[in-house]
Amino acid sequence: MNRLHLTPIYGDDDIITHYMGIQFFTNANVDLGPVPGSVTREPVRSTRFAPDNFFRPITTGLEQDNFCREYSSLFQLTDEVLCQSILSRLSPRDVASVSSVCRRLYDLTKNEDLWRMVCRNAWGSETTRALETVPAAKRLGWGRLARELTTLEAVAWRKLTVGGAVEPSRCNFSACAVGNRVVLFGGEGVNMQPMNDTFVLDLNASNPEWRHVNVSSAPPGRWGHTLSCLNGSWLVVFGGCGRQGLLNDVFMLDLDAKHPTWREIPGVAPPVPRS
Amino acid sequence: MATREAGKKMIMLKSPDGMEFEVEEAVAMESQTIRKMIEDDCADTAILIPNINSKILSRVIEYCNKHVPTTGATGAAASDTVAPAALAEDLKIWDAEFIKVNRATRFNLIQAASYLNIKGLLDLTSQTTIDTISDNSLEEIRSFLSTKNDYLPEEEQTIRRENQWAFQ
Repeated sequence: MNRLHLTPIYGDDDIITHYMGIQFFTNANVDLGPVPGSVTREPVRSTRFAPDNFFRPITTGLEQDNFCREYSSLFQLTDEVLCQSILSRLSPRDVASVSSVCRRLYDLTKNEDLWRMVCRNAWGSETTRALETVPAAKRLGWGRLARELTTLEAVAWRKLTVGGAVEPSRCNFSACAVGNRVVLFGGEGVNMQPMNDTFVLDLNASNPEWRHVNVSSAPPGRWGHTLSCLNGSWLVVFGGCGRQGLLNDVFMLDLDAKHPTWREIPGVAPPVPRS
Repeated sequence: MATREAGKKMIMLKSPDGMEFEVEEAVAMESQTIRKMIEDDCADTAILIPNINSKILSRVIEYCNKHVPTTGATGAAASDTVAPAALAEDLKIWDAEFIKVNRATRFNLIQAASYLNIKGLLDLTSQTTIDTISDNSLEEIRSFLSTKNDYLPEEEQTIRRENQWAFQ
């Protein structure tokens, strides 16, 4: 009969600090198996259960069976190692593809933590962190997200009604994305009037609306220029057509600065003026 | 196996099949698992490495020996004369040679690198497998993994449909 024997161990002040448990087996084959993950030294691993009810310390003889498993196939690796060292490093398509190989791989690829790692490898940790804040993404789960981000099957135009207005109305403006904000600068008003105002539309807001931004020292008005975003919040304007014709000047604005100010960036040998 | 050098702390690593390897502490600490044991004072004179036999453990030590940052008295002299880029190139060539082993050894090295938490070795040993899975058909992957298609035909069709996007 198998039985568990518990022995209390007393500290200096006669208080029980530990229990020592000994499981007796009359007939059992105990395979301690491979050790998962990071493990600090566990005393139990240095002893072996023997069928004769005694503990035997590991001898330094040749005991190869349980403690020295040979992995002749990838499938003998533990699930954890398979996931962390192989599956999580595959591309999203390859993970979906290997789930068709056999049942074990199918079961392994149903793991949300695995898909999170796959997404992080595919699109970067900044993206996965940003996705974690989106409630709709959480509902979908990482597996589905990986699929939709790969196939872009759910991408669709949707008419968005926003508050505020870009006034006066214009054409030939430039706009670019700064995170979840859209920034618009300049453009061509009535009578080809070049403009130099800045607007922001914050799509993170519950009711997004166009907002005119008060900026100091705006560049001369222009249309047909470019507007680009650098380093998360810097906006760069180049060229376009101003009151005096084509331009090749460069201006920069830090949108997140306390008092956003356009600054001209002088450069040696700029490209020829263009729009 | 490393030989004892003056002023360098040595650690004894024991494989479960009874072999003992004396290595410099810095070499052993290439393994984050061993580093943690040493830092937590869980390691006194010898550390038993479970599940990794002497054949694999000796290869792991060989890798760590090569990859340990050369800051010691002898190492500094070598890295002074060689540019970092050349050193990295040398390591790459050495790695490529190191990984020329049979499949079984490679899988054992993956398991060992994972347990001992040696990132560089894990990257090196798992890359071939990752490439094989990425570049081959399902049948070829099955044969590489020595596994069989264990789905019922209708099951296979459902799963195929579920993962159709992977093959587009």
